[in-house]
Amino acid sequence: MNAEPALSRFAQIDSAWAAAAERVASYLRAHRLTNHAQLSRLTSDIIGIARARQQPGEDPLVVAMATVEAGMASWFALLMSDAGATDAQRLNRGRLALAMGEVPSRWPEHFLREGAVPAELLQVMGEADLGRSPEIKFSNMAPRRSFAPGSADVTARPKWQVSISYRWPFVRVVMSLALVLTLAGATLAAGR
Amino acid sequence: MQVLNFDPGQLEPAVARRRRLFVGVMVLLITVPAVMLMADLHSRTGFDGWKLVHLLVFTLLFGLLALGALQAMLGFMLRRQGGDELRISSSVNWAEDTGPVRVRTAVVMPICNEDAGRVMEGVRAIYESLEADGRLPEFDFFILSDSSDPNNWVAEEVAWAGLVRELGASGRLFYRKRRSNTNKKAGNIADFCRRWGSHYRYMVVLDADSIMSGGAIVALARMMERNPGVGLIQAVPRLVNGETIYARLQQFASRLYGPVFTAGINFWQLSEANYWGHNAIIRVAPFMKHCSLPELPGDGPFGGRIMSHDYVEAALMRRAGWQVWLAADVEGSFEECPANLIDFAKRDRRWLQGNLQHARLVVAPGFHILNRWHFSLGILSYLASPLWLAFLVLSTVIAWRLKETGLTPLPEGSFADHMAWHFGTETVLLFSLTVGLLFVPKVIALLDLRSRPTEVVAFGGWFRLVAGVLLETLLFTLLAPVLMLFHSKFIVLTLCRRSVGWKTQRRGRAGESDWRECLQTHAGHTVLGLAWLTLAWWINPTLALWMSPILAGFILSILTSYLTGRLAPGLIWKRAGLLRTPEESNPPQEIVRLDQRMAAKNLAPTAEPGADEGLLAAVADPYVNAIHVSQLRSKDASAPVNEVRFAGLRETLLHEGPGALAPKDKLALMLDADSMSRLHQTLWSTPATELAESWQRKLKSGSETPDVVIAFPAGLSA
Repeated sequence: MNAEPALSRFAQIDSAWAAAAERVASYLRAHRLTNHAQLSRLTSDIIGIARARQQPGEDPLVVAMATVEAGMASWFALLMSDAGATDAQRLNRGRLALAMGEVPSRWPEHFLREGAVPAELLQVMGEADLGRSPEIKFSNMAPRRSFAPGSADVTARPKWQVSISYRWPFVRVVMSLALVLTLAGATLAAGR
Repeated sequence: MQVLNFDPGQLEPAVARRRRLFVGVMVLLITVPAVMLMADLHSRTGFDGWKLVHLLVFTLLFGLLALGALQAMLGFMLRRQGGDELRISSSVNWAEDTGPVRVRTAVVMPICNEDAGRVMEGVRAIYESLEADGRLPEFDFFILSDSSDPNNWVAEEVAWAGLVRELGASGRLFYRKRRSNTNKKAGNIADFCRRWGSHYRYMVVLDADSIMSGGAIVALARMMERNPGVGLIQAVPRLVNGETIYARLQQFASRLYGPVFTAGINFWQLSEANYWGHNAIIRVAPFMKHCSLPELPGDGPFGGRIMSHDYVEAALMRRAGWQVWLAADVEGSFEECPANLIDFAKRDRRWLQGNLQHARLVVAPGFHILNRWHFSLGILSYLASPLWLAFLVLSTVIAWRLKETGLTPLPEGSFADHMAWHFGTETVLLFSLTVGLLFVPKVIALLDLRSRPTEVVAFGGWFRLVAGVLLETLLFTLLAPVLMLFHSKFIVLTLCRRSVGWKTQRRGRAGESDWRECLQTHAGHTVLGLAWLTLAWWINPTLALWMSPILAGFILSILTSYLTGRLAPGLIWKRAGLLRTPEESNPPQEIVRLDQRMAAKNLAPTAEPGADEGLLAAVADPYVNAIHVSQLRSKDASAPVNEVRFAGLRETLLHEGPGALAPKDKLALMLDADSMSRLHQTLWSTPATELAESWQRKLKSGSETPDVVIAFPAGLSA
């Protein structure tokens, strides 16, 4: 079962409103409102309100979705203390709380409805968020300029040292190895 | 006998010096006779340049072999006596010191394009373990993402939110995605330190596949708290969850031989141990003060960003006067390993380049001599491969020259004559000594288990244990030469300034080997093996016989690489109890829970997310959008010029689809909270006919499948 009875009713009246109703139902389903009776009822109510609000020339889809958004914003304002928040922030926080508290699937009959709500729902909406990370206290951990300890910078060393140890480190490694090999060879030769 | 309350702060430098001198002398005592034997063998047919180089390469390789065997022997002897008294765990009285640690510790997990589901399950296992131990209040968790793929980014956010919800971890488990991946993993940790480091005394650094028990984490924190002069303690991670033969070989070998080796390593490292990059606890304040990394002069592969940052951070910590210890006996530290030889080699290529970079630091000012030794050993661990290859090539050349000149070994004129040794006797003696050193750690590890009967049972009993050692020896004999070729090639490529990128490790079924890749990768090895065998046979059939184990590795590489990297044969061996480890017999709770949850995830049918699925979900799905926006930095107002740009991008995205935008533009939109909120609102208020096809599909899929809007494998339930 889905929201088809509600949709078909509107389809007979106006295909634009039918499309709007379909979009509203789809949007509510995207909030995991899976109770089909509630979905149909809520969709009908929203479309009813939207039709009443429609100004001449306004697209039903735009009006319907604006009605959903306004309904959500006012429902969140009732359930969540967020004084000073903009509509966008309130909507975002509210949707986050819906997700974290699984509100539409746990309390479908109260979702976006006016009137008293269970205390648990109120608590869930008030508390359900992702948590604030600890306050950011910027500390200095700037990348160092070189491996030289203290203030001595590699570039302050004699040029030939910088060249060998930093610019061509493998030359130095190979030279060291060659020195070891020569010494070992000389020792062996001397021993014979 | 366990000596309690060892105070690392009172450790006399002379003790460390004596131990290191002892190790050095012992390595020389083992190496010198072998070198003399080899020199004598060469002298019998006349010394030349080839033989001189051959002898020097042999000396270096034999020295490394001797050091490895000596470490195992030392570890064995120390463990027989109840453990080294000079170990960091002896600084705590575990029987009495059981109260809360009472310091704030962050558990940080840097990730980069990993499987979000696996990452979160790992975090869950650690979190639940700490919770079960009643230690949760002392710890905060940070998932530090550097993921560059928007799909992975959004999947991580969704999986993290689901995990927070399921664990009730709001305010304790945090997720942070960096805008720019400057300095990769080291930069990721440094960014955490800059933002939140001052809140915590310690941080436990994990890898994406790390698992640590609550007990292990608390033990590390307790050791740090007991020893205010210690800056870093590295726990030894045990390999787990291997399913292919290759992965199970690795975990069996590291589990069996690891304990004696690490005990031996601690004998000479003491307070100048190394950092392996994860499964370690770090004192945050000195780390922030002393361990930021500079860029090396010049471009990659030897210049620029330091790739193997861990060794360098340990060296910087030590240079600043802080001790660094290896906690070889802390239980409950785990990680996973690549499933096949080719993936293992790919990971090695990254590590190899990082270690070769350290050549510049061996001579950098101020480092402790032991950190220079760590850098050198890290380089030698990969340089040993081309040296070994050079040794084999030189052996072949010397044999060929011998054949060409027709010389025979001299009957006399050798020091060995005083001991009545002939050429053949010396050859056999040298061969026995080499093979003996190779096998010493294996024999010692088995002897070590004689006093641990419960562990023998956990390994599957003596029969399976010995069979495992034989199989491991046989297979590594075939695999090691191929790794030698890989490493040699990588070193050449690195010297030719061919840099490597960061590739995410593949795990589970995704990490299985496949024929095409094996054929492409190992065809050259096979041809080389056949050619070398033919040459060796032509020179002298005895030479071919001597080299046959190595050449067999080359020739059979396609088959061994493929079979050892497949799941099916690995699972057959697992069921038969071959290569069994104690962690398989009696898996720790953390691993059991992780495996169960991952198995349940893998059973759920999931479709591969499309190219822009992350972006589509983050815009269309009300919950994913809310989670995503909540993690973005909100700004008061965009600069007008930016707002015009973003408005244009939003328009294009909705009407022409994600394909019409460049990746950097998509990423810019995803990083802008205002744009993401507006996109969500506009998408749902726009008639379908005006939207790009991908959006129409997205909205339609939401209508048709009311319960599933998020099309990620992880979904909202991590």
